[in-house]
Amino acid sequence: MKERLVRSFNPWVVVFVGMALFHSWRGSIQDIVIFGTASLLILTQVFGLYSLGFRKQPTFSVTAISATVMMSAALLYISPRHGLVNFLVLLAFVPIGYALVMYQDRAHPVPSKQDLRGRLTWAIWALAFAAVELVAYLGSKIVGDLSVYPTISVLLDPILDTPIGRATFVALWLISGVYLFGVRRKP
Amino acid sequence: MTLPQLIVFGYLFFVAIGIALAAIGRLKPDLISPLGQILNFVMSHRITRIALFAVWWWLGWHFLVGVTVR
Repeated sequence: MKERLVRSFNPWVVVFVGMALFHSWRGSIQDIVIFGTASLLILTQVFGLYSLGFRKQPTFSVTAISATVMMSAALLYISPRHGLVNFLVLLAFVPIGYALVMYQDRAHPVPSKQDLRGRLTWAIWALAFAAVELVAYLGSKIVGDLSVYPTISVLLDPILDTPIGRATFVALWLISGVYLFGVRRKP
Repeated sequence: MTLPQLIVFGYLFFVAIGIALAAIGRLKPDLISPLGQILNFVMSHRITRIALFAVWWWLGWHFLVGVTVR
C-alpha cells in the first residue's frame, strides 16, 4: 500500500493533478476534465497497465500528414472559432494521438551528458516560459485588467478570431505535433 | 517601457531563447544534444509521451475551442 502511494507521486501525476487544481481555481471546467483525464491515464501507466496500447508506433506518409494538415487548416478557415467544427477537428486528433503515444516502450537509450544537459536546459526554458505566463495571469487577476497583464491567450485572441489566423495556427500546431511525437523521426 | 510591453517582451524573449537553443543543439552538439535527439530520449518513456501529448492537445483545445476565462 505504501509502495503504491509512493509510486502515485510520479512527477507527471503531480504536475497534472496540480494543473487540474489550478484550473478548478480558475473555474474552467473543460480544463479540469482534460487534465483530470490525463492524470488518470498516466496513473494507469504508473500502476503498470502496459497491456493498453500497441506494439509499435504507427507510421504515416508525408502525403497523409500534408493532407491532414491542409484539410484541418481549410476546415478551420471556413468555420467560426469555438464552434462545432473546431471541436470535431480537435476531437479527431485524440484517437490519432492515442495511437502515436500508446505503444510499448522501446529499449531506453542511454543518455549522454549532452542529452542530460539538453533535457535540463529545455525543462528550465519551459518552466521559465510558463512562469512568465503565470505571472501575467495572476497579475491580471489582482488588478482585474488583462490589458495591463496580457496572457498569451489574450494576445493571440485577435489573430485567432480571423480565418487565416486559425488556419495558420492549426497548421503550425499540427506540424509541431508531428515533430514532437516523432512521426517522421528515425529511431 | 510599460508593463504590458515588458510582458510581451518576456514572451518574445523566451521564443528567441528557444530558437537559439535549437540552433545551438544543431551547431554545437558537444554542448547540448540536438532537440530531435533529446526528444528521442525523452519520448522513449510512455508516461512522458502521454503527458506531452496531453499538454500539446490542450494547447490546441485552449486556443481554438475553449473560451478564454477572464
